[in-house]
Amino acid sequence: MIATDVVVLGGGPSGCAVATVLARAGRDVLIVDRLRAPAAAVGESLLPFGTRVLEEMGVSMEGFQVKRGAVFTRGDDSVRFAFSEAVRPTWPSAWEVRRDVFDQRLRDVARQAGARFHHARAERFEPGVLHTDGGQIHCELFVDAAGRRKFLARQRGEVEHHPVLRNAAQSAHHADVDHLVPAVRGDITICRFVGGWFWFIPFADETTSVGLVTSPECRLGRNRWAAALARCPQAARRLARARRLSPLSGVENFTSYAARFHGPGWALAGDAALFLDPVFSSGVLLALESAWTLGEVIRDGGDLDFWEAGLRAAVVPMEKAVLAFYDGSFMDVACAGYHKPRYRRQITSLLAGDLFAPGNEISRRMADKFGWLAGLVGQVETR
Amino acid sequence: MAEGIKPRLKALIIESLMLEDMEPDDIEDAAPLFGEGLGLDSVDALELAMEIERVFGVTIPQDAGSRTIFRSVDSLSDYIAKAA
Repeated sequence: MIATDVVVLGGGPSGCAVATVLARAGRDVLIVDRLRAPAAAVGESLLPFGTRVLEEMGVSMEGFQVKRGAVFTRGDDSVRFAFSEAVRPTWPSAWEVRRDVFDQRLRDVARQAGARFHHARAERFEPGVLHTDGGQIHCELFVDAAGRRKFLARQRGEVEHHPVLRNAAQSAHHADVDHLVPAVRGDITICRFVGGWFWFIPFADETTSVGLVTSPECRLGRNRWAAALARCPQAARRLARARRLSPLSGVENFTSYAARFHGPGWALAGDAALFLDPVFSSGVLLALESAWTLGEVIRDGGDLDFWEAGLRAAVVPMEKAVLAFYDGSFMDVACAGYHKPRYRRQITSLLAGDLFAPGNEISRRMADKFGWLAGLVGQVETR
Repeated sequence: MAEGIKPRLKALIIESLMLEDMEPDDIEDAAPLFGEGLGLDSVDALELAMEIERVFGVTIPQDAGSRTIFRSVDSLSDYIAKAA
């Protein structure tokens, strides 16, 4: 039997962030993970505003590909958003990261802060005790930061799947991908087609993560990848000479929220609390911000209801933008050009992940507008 | 009541339309918002109507009459004061 103050399940971004805050505050923190070393994972494209927590943690981002913008294509249209054009360009760039390397650096920071690691598979949580395949771990506080499988929310029957967003992804790393204009080196590219979209995330070593996201209604048959490429010439052009370096791996039905983010003796961080469709690369940002602020609130004896409400409110504009991507209005507005430069700047703020500043209205304003702005696209003069 | 609304309204116009080089005092109460005045157009009016509905809880009809309502800060604040 092991006894500790805080058990954090999961040694990914959210687990390492919350563990770092609490360990630095002198709490006795044990990170429990089923893997001794981080594995490759999706969530490879970071957002500029995720830098806030990375700076607080002191994570070295040396060697990662700098990401200065995002490109979206649909049909023959393509449009690039440069993060330096955001309304508040606090962080004008982000990074594309191989997750095994990135997560190891986060683990190193948590370890230096004083958190310890324990290799075990979690089986069941009851107040004060985490049962694992290696025995019981007693703790005052349990934080589930173990990702989108939602260990604790699932055990509690509190996983809420999104009514609309029920997509599935498959992805693999590739060599020799063509990054066509308007992409600048390091840009993520999203290629929309009828029924789904492809992502292209270029790494510093010239390899590229390529993923395909499709909705369950989109019947592409057994060979989903080839059928989607046939529908998406933009992606096919980028992949014309490409070689796949690893087998395709898949994730299904990922947008889900836990009904509650905390209770007596437990709390949720990152994907274990909420995970949104990956089209705007918000996963790691939400993981880091939710976990870092959770750690601060616990450390300071703050109000966890307030923390949960703030987190849910911060995600609303991003979820609205994601829905606008799928109903077409985001691309209508993005590809139409800009009657007003402010739309471009507000969209860029959303894409940069400017969601968490108190009283921040920038992203909310834009997210509420895609619908009616798309309706005007045919009528307004574009500049 | 309309007088008290004006500073908030001017701040809302500047903030929601991102008129970053302007201060509330730069907008005169009676000056036209459209055309050669502040230079707003119909898209700005739509956006402003949405923000006014959210902040003041007042719906501005999207019809011929809205042109009169949006004429100036004076007319807009009169409308909000009467409707609120």
